[in-house]
Amino acid sequence: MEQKDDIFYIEKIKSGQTNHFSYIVEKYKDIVFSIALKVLRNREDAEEMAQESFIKAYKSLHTFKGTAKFSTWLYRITYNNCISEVRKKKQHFVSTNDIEIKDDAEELNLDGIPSENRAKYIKIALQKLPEDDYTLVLLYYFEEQSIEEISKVTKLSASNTKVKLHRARKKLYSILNEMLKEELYTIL
Amino acid sequence: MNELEDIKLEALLHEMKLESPEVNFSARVMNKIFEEESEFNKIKSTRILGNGFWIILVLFVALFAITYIVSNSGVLVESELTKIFPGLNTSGVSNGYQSIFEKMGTMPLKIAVILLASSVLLFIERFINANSKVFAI
Repeated sequence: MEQKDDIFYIEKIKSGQTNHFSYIVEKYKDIVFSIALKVLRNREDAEEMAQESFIKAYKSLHTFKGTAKFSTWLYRITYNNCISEVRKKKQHFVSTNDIEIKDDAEELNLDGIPSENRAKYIKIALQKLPEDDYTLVLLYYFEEQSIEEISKVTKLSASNTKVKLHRARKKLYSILNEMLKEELYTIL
Repeated sequence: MNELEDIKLEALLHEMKLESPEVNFSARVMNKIFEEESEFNKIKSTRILGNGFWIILVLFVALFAITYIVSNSGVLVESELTKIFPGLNTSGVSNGYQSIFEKMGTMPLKIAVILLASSVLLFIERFINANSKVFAI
């Protein structure tokens, strides 16, 4: 249904009704901004990059054939834009390989986190995830994109995406575990 | 890390709210799009071949025509003189005429070449300018 909605509005935009693009912006602004924010680590830069990504998407809309999901296409533009920006700024792009995954990540029980703090913990843990992992988690869990769709966005192979997603999840658990331990120490 | 924990994590992640840009973000994006679109339309409506180009082209054609007429008129004068004065040695006169017309004839041609070159340059400059704006949008 969502894809059908997108196609409906895209056709309208292609036929010259530019104002319908606001539907697309409104629908995807949060996820596009979140990806940009994670990669660029600065709200101002992230807003600019998100804006640029939407404008780029608008200008290249005629090249969108509808064979893939529009969201996948849009995220690929955003992701590529952010990566180019990072390279331009010569920032270090943190990858999963730079962060150690501890064995005790396997032992985590999410029920151990007080329910009222769970959202807060997850948010902090997500912020601590490397950029590429964050994007994978975001697309897989928030956007419910398939492995194939994510591999199109990140230009990784499907098997590599699967492995990286698994490692990202492990990393998230590891971070959460560490946070829980710290919390426990402060209580004791 | 078991499947149940993964399901719980998934549910938790779904409950999470994503970061949002500023309230007027959508309006800003749309304004920028409208702005760029109107600029694009303006460029599209601007004629690449302006009046300057056409004036230079007309001048070039006129000068080319003059060159042609003048270079032919030398031959015409010589043949007319031989007809009127059959015994007259027209070679000296015709040579004189020829050199005058040759000098005169090459002048408009040089001007025409300069005009043609400037019109081509003008055209290239306008074309590049117009296209660079189109590609930038």
